Amino acid sequence: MGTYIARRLLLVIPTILAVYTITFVLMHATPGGPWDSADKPLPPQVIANLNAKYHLSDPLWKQYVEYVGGVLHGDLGPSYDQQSMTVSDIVRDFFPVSLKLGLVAMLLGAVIGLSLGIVAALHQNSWVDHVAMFGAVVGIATPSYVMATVLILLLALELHMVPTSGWGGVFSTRIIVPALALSLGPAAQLARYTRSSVLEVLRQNYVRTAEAKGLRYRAVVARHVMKNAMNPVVTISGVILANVITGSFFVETICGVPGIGRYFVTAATGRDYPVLMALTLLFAILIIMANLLVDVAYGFLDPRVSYH
Amino acid sequence: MLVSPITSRFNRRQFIQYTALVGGAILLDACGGTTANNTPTSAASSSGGSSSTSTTSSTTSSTTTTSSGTSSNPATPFSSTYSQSFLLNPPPAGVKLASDQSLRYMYIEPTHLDPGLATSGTEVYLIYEIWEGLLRFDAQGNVQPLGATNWDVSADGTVYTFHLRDGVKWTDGTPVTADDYVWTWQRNEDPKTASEYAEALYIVKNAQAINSGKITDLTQLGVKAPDPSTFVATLEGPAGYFLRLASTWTAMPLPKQSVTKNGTKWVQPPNAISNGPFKLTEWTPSQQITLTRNEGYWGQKPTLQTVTIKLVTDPQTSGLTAYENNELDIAIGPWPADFARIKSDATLSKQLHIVPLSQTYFVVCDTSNSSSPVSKPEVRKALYLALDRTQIVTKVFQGLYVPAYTILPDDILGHNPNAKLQGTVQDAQNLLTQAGYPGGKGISLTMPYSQNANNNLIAQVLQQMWQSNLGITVTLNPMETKAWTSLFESFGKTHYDLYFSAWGSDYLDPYDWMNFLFTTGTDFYHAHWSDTQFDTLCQQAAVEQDPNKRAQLYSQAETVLIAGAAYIPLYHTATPYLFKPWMLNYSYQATGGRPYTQVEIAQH
Repeated sequence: MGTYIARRLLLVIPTILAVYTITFVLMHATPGGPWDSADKPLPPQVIANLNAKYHLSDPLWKQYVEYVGGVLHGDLGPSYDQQSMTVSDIVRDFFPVSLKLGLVAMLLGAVIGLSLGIVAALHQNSWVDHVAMFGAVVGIATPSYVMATVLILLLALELHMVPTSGWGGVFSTRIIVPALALSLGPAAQLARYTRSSVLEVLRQNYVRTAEAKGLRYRAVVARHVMKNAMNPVVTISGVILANVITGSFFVETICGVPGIGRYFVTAATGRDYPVLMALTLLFAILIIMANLLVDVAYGFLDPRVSYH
Repeated sequence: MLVSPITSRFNRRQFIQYTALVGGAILLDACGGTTANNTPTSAASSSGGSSSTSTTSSTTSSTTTTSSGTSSNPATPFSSTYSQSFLLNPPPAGVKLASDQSLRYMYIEPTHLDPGLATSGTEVYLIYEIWEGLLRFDAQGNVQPLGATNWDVSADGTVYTFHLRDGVKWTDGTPVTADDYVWTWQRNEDPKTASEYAEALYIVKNAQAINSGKITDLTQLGVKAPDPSTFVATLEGPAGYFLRLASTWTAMPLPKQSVTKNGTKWVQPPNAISNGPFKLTEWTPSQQITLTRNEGYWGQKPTLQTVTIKLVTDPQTSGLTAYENNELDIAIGPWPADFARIKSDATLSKQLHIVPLSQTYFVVCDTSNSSSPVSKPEVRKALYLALDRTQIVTKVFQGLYVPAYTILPDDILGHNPNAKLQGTVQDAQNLLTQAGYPGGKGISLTMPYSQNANNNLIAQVLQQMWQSNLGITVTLNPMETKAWTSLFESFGKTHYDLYFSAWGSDYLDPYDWMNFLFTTGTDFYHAHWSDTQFDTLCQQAAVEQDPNKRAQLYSQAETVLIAGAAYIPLYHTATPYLFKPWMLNYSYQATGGRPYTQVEIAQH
């Protein structure tokens, strides 16, 4: 198992390099630069000064290499947009917020989704099943920003349980609205995957054997069904987790959460190259790590899988 | 200024192009009677290229400024004839003030708070409260001495000597001296600082040479401090608008002790040393900015103790919810989806205040595109006449905007409602027939624009009106913002059909519109429209001293402009605000305002 993990970690390097190269090429191929403003175009002298200051007038290969050199020294570059912060500042200040919010949302989503899915599968075709699956469809179909807005109206304006926006850390009431809004999608997806997976396992021969042997239903479910049903659920959880952690632009904007999600969008539309590159690489690393975690989890969950 | 669509950033630049010629005389209202004559300057440089409007600077150098040596303040060279300012909720007699004097607002996060680098409204409104410069202009256009108590201007108008006030201190206790001003202006023009706003000070001697790297010695800049309380600025040529320039944020002194030590981090508290009525005490990124009253301020201290600005991406949407939940005292609009509800709500409608902006939206046609129908003036006039602006403004924008039949807003000298093109939709259709497109057949236009909610509305209503009233085909091309900007910049060399845009005044003078945007040499919008009569009228008006004659010239120019139909005006804009009834004494002015210094909170 150890060598497997080590090998996977080594593979991260060429993957990240490929992501970096593709992103770099796409970034510079897209029309429009950081100093093109919808306001009055800047005078050429000012643009020349800005390009000199940020090394944008250097040849592309030089910028490509310089950035890698900078990253290896821990310098992720300045932000063109937020001039008083460096990219490291931005990632350091805002990524933990998104991380915490994402983890809480994922936890919520997992709890809600898994329980709904299991209950629905165990009572297949009953009213419980129909209600749960209808809820799942609504959850997948409802955009997170709609949910966030509805929750704000309900919890903040009507019931005055929480303030309308802001961030107070993981243990404050302010996390309720964004976490709920973010957890809806994952919960719904997990519910459906869990349900179909459990249903499939319930039809397996070893389950029938266990029941025939006289084991109580609950024991059958807990001991034999659950672990084996988790395979597809774990697979999809990895990617969902990465998505949720990198923050949802909409939920963060509406709920006033100072996370990293909005920087993905504003850096792209504003051509803030250093921020854009750093976030893309961050997202790539997160997905790689999430997939690695999922693959390692298989080793424990599924006895048929072995990494030795 | 060219206005970005209402997206997450409000970019409202003020006072950018000071290399412009500001001619003309303005009547001082308060003092009454004295006329200030502005001296035309030869344009040093400008991205618009004001070659067509440059005049020699020698002959008419006269200001009402007295000769050097006297201590009287020269009269303000500029004040607007029409004013967009207002005072909201003046405190009623005997009102009790709240014990907690704090104001809560919500807005977009500034990218930084460095007065030397700031260009957009998102930063400027806070900078005016935290720092201050030599002087400022109030809502009526009268000058208020701040850092300087008085100043003298040389006879030829190129040397300004400011006498600084005693007792003005930085928040760290050290005094503000003339050296601070000198160092700041040098730093702002230093090419290594790469200030996006460096061009504003190009009128100062050697500023442009230094900023472009031709002169590397910063001390060559035309500013010096012969002693700690005298600051002397030498200009490239006489400039009647220089005092206006000196009142903007880019001329405010900066604390050298903090900037040199802390680099870009100097704008973060506690390094953000300042000299204005408020101090920047807290800036939690993406969350909140807090200003606190500066107890060491030399002048009248504000009544407010704290100002809290919550930072969000979308202050209109988030702000309205928070305002209704009593978490904010001021909310800024527009709120397209809620406006009707606010207007009909008993409480909210009383708190609503609509501030007209000196801004116009209009359509620009490529008059030189011979393969497009818009190259024919009849087609363009038909496009003008086929629009029902009242409907656009009432149905699409819920009455918030004002129909515009001419380009200049009504607070600009020379605004001429008679320049409006007369005619009905029927006349428009006849014009098309005349031009060879009966029933609109054969006209197919493409209109690109930067995609956002507001622009989508505008584009769709234009397309719909033209298609149904004229029978022509209009294809919309929504684009991503930067891609659109890139395309717009290419219009100088490539052909297009038409697009819409907006311009808002940087300063309240017709020069900022007519001469700066539409003359043959500038052609800011790449309409490729050229009219010698228009150019002549604008050039004459630029140097004309008599305000009445000037107004006449610009009115005539407006008539020529509209008749040319290269620019089709749509509407003038406004911004709605909501103010809580306990928020008193909010003083708004179009540019250069610092309302928080006057606001008081009543008990509630």
